[in-house]
Amino acid sequence: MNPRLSLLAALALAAAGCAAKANKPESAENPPVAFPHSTHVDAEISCNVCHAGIEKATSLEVGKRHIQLPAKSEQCEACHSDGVPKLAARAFEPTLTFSHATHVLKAKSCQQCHVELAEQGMAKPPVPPMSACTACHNHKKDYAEARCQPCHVDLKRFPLKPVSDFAHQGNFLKQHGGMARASAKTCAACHDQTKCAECHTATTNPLKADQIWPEKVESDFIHRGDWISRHTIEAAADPASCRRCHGSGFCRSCHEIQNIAPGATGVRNPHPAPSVWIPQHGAAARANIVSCAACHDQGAAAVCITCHSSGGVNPHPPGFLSKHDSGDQSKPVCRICHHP
Amino acid sequence: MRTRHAIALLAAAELLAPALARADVVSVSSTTLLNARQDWRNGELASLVPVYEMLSISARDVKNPLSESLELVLSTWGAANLGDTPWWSGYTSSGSLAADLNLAYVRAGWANRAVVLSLGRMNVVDGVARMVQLDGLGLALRLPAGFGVSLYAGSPVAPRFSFRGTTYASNPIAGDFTTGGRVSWMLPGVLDLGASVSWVADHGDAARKDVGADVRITPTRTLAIVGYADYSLMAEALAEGSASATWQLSRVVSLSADYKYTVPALFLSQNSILWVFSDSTRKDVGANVHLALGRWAVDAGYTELLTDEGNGPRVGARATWRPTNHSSVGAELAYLDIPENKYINGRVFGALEVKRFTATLDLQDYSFDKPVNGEKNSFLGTLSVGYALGSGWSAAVAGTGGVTPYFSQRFDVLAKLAYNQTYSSREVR
Repeated sequence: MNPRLSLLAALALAAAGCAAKANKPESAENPPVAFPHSTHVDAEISCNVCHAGIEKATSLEVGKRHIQLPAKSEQCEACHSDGVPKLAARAFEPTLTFSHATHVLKAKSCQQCHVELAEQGMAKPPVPPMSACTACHNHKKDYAEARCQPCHVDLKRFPLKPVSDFAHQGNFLKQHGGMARASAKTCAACHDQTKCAECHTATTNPLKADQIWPEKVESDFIHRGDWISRHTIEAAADPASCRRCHGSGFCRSCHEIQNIAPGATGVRNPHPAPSVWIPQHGAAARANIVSCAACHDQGAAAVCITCHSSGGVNPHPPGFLSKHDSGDQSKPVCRICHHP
Repeated sequence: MRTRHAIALLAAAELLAPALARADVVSVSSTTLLNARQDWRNGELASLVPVYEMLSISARDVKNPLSESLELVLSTWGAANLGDTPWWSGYTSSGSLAADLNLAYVRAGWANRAVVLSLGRMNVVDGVARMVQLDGLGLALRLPAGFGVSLYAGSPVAPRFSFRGTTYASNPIAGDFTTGGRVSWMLPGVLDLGASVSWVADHGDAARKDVGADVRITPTRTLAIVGYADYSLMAEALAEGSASATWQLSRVVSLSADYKYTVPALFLSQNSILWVFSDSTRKDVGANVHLALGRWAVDAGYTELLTDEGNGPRVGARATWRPTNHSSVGAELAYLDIPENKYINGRVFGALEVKRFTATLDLQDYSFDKPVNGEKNSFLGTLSVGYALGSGWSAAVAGTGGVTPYFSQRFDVLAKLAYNQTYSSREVR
């Protein structure tokens, strides 16, 4: 079988397998909210006139709003003389494990948690803020340990905007690495590693993120746009940053095919003429050795060894030999130049 | 050989399907890209027409008899070249087919997730691991009294399953085996302290031996202070140190300040001959402000780059205005001045959603102080139009054109078909 066809067939099978075995798609989009709560609150209609039975509900249920309008009510007919308007049902998927039965008994009023009510025109009904929960429940330990599941059904599926010390605002792109080092399990409460892989699997990824998602114009992709033209400048500004994701082989793989590598000739050689470059290269290497490694990191076969082997020009920075004994044969890298 | 690898990997994805069917929640993302572009090949411009298929599947709460919780994650891709010129630069796949795995791991939890075991291809971020992408295993234990331990071991990932270890590695962890871990102690909501170690071996020789410490302090829910230090035992020197503070003053204003110290040579593998040639240091000191003003969002930041060769600023500002819930317009300005070169960058972008259509525009210009490849300016513009087909499917086309130091004229076209959907079999536990 043609290998190209095999590949496409395997891909199609994988995708079809997943689609066929998945059980149920997410709910369809809902129309805007039609019910004006404020009108009814102002008219002092008690919540349980419409939400009868809520005090017995032990869970939030799919498609159930816990609304049981009375068949005939004087309160309704006082305003709705020509009958209570019928409202289209809204699809509803609960994102919390929650028992109204437990909470109604202890709350002073519905508004204690439902600080904002659904009003006409809203895209979706507002839910009580988490501060309404933590006003009574101390979840400090759960929060710190990212144990969200007891209350939140699935934060990966129903993501919430992170708040307070986990907010992703402003300079988060620069800050997130430091946070993740100490709190990887917290990140994992909302993100599986496919999110990280969008940028952090540079060894295996085939394309830059902005090539895959050109429509995400607000995203902070670090290599956005004409990165290739400015990559040497950015590498000089923060060489260590490149080496967090890219090894020497990554640089060489592109430089070789572009003929910008050892042995390249003419304008493809990134260095000036040897008479100019040789006196300069030591200072350049001291300043940004990571750039040198992009092409010249071949271990014992590196071009540097030609002149800088033991007995040649000392390549080490000042003070290096005070910390590292040249007779130390335990480090293979030393043995490349310093023979016993 | 690589073709067989690709087919085997994708067949494995198909075999996972029965397990996915027993999961409570399955998230699927499939993106098919057809790209037509030009690139340089040995000094000549060549036309490339690759087609990519990228697939991510995440299944959570998979019912099984062995663990309380089980998660399967797969992120993979395959590509075929429809043109005659090999499109992928490099040693590893210059033919017409390529495929690889970004992630493929199984994660199981026991005792209310106090014990979590991960197995497969994953990223490890804990402590001094430096976000290593590895084939191996990870174990996380939540112990009493706020203590925790995480351990990992495996082989750093090689692209297309080729060069593992050696200084030719594309993985920055240039070794064929790595292990490490982090011990932590937490005072919930206030303090998280960690000590970590990372060890890398390349064909039996040590390539990295680092120890580190990290701390996260949250004196209030709106203030987070993070500190980190990474010490190289082989170089007997601090490789990296950083400290940052973020403070959310209100819903409107967030402030952050950070300091970073690095020795770039110690980010090279320490079996590389080059790390012994330099001990130059870099320091960054900066501050940022974020303002959320109704339909406006403004970010501004200043960082001073301090190097042994000289200092320079990196300055940036961005404003985004969302006139409606379905549209946004933004502008960015950036300035970088380092001894090697400097540039000014201006960017404008916008997005408009009308019913099922979404259009975006992105214009970006860089003006360099010293010529890059003989040119002092780079301009690139991208226009995209997308259409939501429904049921998680969407289609988009994008065109990019410009004049850059790399191309005297550039024009790329991309067509994309994407599928993103989450399936669930049980809504409430």
